[in-house]
Parts: sequence; structure tokens; C-alpha cells
Amino acid sequence: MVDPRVIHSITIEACTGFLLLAGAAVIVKVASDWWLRSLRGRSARLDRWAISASKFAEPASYFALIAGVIATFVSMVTGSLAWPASQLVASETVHNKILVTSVSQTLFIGAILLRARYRFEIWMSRGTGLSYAALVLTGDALMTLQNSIAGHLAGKGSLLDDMLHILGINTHPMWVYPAWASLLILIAFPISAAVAGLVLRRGRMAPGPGGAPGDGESKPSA
Amino acid sequence: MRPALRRFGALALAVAAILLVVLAVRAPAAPVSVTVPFKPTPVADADLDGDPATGAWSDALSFLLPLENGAAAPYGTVTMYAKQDGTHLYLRVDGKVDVPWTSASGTHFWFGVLVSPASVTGHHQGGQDGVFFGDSLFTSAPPLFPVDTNGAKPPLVDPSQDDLGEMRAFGTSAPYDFTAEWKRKVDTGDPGDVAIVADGTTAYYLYATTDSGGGGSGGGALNHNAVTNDNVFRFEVPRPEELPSSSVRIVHEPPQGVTPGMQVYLTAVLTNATAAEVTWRNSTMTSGLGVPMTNLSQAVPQGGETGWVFAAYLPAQSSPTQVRYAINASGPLGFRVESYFYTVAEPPDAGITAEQQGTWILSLAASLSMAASVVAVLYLYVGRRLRREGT
Repeated sequence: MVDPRVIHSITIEACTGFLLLAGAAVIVKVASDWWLRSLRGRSARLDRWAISASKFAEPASYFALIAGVIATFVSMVTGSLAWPASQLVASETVHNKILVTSVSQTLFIGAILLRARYRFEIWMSRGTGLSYAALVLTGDALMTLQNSIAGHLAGKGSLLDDMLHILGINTHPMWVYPAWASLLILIAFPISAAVAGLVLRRGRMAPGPGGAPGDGESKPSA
Repeated sequence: MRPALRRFGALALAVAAILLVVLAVRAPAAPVSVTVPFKPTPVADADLDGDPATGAWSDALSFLLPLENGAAAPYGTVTMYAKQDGTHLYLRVDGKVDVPWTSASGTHFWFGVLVSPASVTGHHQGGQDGVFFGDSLFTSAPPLFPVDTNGAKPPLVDPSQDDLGEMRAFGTSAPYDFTAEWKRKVDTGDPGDVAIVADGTTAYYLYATTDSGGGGSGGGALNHNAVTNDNVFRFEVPRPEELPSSSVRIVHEPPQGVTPGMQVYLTAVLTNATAAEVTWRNSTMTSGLGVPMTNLSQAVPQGGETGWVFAAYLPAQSSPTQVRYAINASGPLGFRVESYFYTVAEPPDAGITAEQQGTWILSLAASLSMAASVVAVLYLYVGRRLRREGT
């Protein structure tokens, strides 16, 4: 029978590979869009490259994102099979990994929802494209951190150890907020999001300059 | 001539510079392959105290051992002393470290060794047997006793503590000296330990390292797992005829799982002995105290002879320590003294407490709430922005 740890390694490689590909494709997309918006016409060859890269990077990032999120769920299952439950429950480092993985997975799922709802149009505005890219890349940064924690769990260390040491990040003690801070975050963030939603909605309903609707849904789309 | 001389001068300068670099930067020692010699003279338990000036180490094999921290000199290599008497393995390590061991919350470091059978290679693997000194995950304050661990990741404290010794650090500025001395039975009988076969051929891997940069340590810059050195150890075949002989025999197993406040009841089966005494001391006592053993008049067959069960109580210890004791059995045909030890420690940490678990669950919920809120705001923002730009 195949060692569950080997299967877990394979699923980790898969989700890490896909999600890094998503991040890399997003970077390529941002860079090529920036070239086409700001420097188009300076070099015909680079223009062609930017157009080509922009075309393949967008679907590639979306596909990799979906595949990566699915593979991460699979790796959670294989991970729970590969390690004894008693060790998982007792280890502070495992708790750190679960916490970081949960947050990064939330961000990736959010990016998929955004992309699924607004399709490739998300890239047609510089602000929305950068917001989407920031979401995916933040998820990638957290995923890199979670893989570094996994390296410590496997007893192999991590290439990032020196950097983590400089940044004062210790992956061994359990990462927790004080209880009051957790409660504050739990309440304040959803309320802030709701308020931001209301403000955005009011801005959409309010009449624009000259009495025209702001940018409400009544405005015909171009 | 002048250009030729200039070229020669430049060449000589370059060669001198290279030589200077080569001589100034000591290359880390290569992995070692050693055979730990059989020596009938043991290191006394009292001398396994982290003081390099005491103890019968002159007949031990000494060699440079590279550490897994991969650090530059003087932190990347230690001097190890090793010998065995067929029953116990005696090890001592003299090394350098960049911080002193002040407290668990202040600057402190750990030194650890993992041993594995030849089938298990690598810096930190399952199936390895560990001993750690000074790791604040296991030890909250000096004295820095050895903590017997298994090969879990991270290492877990072995329920059966089978190492006796101590580590001490010396000096007033970096590099600080440290010495760790300890002994263990060649075969401890604990399935959680690697049972060593002293046959001169069976090979074992040994990995040693220090850490001062966090994770059971703090305040320094040494990370424990930069490189992997597959150090190979073998153990010379013992020569029992060189050991002191006596017709008096002692069969005894030290107690395990002793906690502070627990009185210890010792029993031993003695053959050809009519009287016995236990001499014991803990880590803070400067001399031993004697306790007579009582013959319980219970006969136990011992290989064709009759042994008798003797027993004694040792007093409870108020705080974590290591108790070293010797059973001195005497009879008409002579006497025999054998030394043992047991570790007095708080019960192993059961992992994460319910309170910590609750705090963590709250933190997890808060983090997810934060991430979900950010995604929700982005969702609304993107919708509004795209509509405003008419896409």
C-alpha cells in the first residue's frame, strides 16, 4: 500500500503548483496590461508579446486557481490521513498551518467568485484588475508561508527560514490573537463590510452630475 | 621587466589573498564515520554534570562532529567524546554557541542529537531517537537535563526517560562555551528508543545540532537545520572479561514517570548478598545520602541461584530533577555497586489546553471573518467600478 505521506506530498505539489501558476499568470497579465495601457507603440515586438501574453495569462490563471483550490481540499484530506490525529491536535505548528491555509483558501475562493461573477471584464478596469491580482497574490504569499510551516512539520526546514527569522516570524508557537482582539475583529470587519456595501450602493443610486443616475443599474452599459 | 614584475606582484597578491581566505574561513567538518570504543571504566554519574573538567573521559574517542546548523566556525562543529562499557554509552560534547542560556523567556539555546538505525537517514525522521538539552519547549529553567524524545515532528517527550546528564554554558561573551554530558543504556529496553547493537559492524546515523534562533530557543542566530550530515557510528564489541567481576549480582530497573512530590519505592533482586544500601543524591545535593535496603524474604530464582528481593524508599523531590543512586550490595563473597538514575519531571504536556484551543478557534474565526469581509468589499467594489466604467 502506498504511504499516505507520499500521497499527501503529491497533492501538496499539485495545489502549490497550480496556485503558484495562478499567481504567475496574474503577474504576467498585470504586466502585459500595463505595457499595453502605458507603453503601447514603443516596440512592435513587445506589443505583440504583451497581446499574446494577456490572452493566455487570463484563462490560465482562472483554470489554475480552480484546480489549485480543488487540490488544496484534496490535500487537506490526505494530510489528515497521513498524520496521526493525536499529533495534529497536540501540535501548535499544525494549528498555525490550519489557520494560514484557511485564510489563503478563503482568499482564493473569493478570487474565483469574483472572476466567475465578472468574467474577464474584471481586467478591463485598472483598479479592478489590480484588486483581483492583489487578492490572488496575497493568497499566494500566505500559501508560501503555509508551505514553510509544512517544511518545519516535516522536519526539513524551509528555504524561507532566514527570511522568517529576520522578520521575526516563529512558526513554532501557536499564533493567536488576544480574545478581545478576536471578538473585535469578528464584529468590526463584517460591520465595516456592510457599511462599505451600503456606501457603495448609495453611490450607485445617487444621481450623477446633471441629474443623471450615478452609476446605477439603470445606466445602459456600453 | 617592470610590467613583468607588476604582473608577478599582482599574481602573488592574488595567491596570498586566496590563501588568507582559505586559512581564515575554516571549512565545516565532513560527516564522520567512527567506532565507539569499549572501555571498562565508566564515567561516574556525579561527573555527568556539564563540567568538562570532571569525569573519566581521557580514554574516550574524541573527534570533531559537524552540526546540522551548517554554521561557520566556531558554531558549526563540536568536539564529541564517546565510549561505552557494554551496558552504557557515555557521550560528551564541547561546543560553542552565540547566546548564553539565561531563561526560557530570555536568550537561550538548545543542543540536540538524533540517532537512527541505518534504515533511516536524514536530519529529522520518524523512527529516530532523540535527546535534547535546553529546549524551552521541554525545559523551563536550569539545570538543563537531557530530555529523551522520539522522532516525531516536532519531537515528543518520550514517556520513558532514559538519559542521565546535564548541559552547562560558560563565558561572558560570544562565542559561549557549552558542554553536554550524558549516558544511556546501550539497549534501554524502551521500544521508543533505538536499541544499539555493539557488534562492531551495525551502523547507526547520528545527527547533532544547536539552535538559538527561535523554536525552543531565542535571541541568537543559529538555525538548527541548514545541512544534513550523515554521521555513521558503530560500536566496538564489549570484552566482559575486562569488567570487574563479583559473585554478587544486582537485578534492578529504575522507576519511570516519577513526578515532584512522589515517594519512590525501589526494589532489587540481589544474589549472594546479605545486606544492601542505596546512596542517592539529586542535582542540587553535593553529596549522597544513604538509605538501607530491607530484605523482604521473597526468593526469586536467578539462573540456578536464589536471589532475594530487597527494597527501599527514596524521598519525594519537590521540583523537577534527576536522582542518581547506587545500590551497594554486599555478602560473604564480596560486594557490588551499580549506579542508576531516574528523572523527576512534571507529567508530559498533554498538548494544547482547552483554553488555548478556545483562543485559537476564536482567532481562526476572526481571521476567516477578516478575509471574507475583504472579499465581500472587493466584490461590491468591482461591481460598482465596472458599472461606472460601463464595461
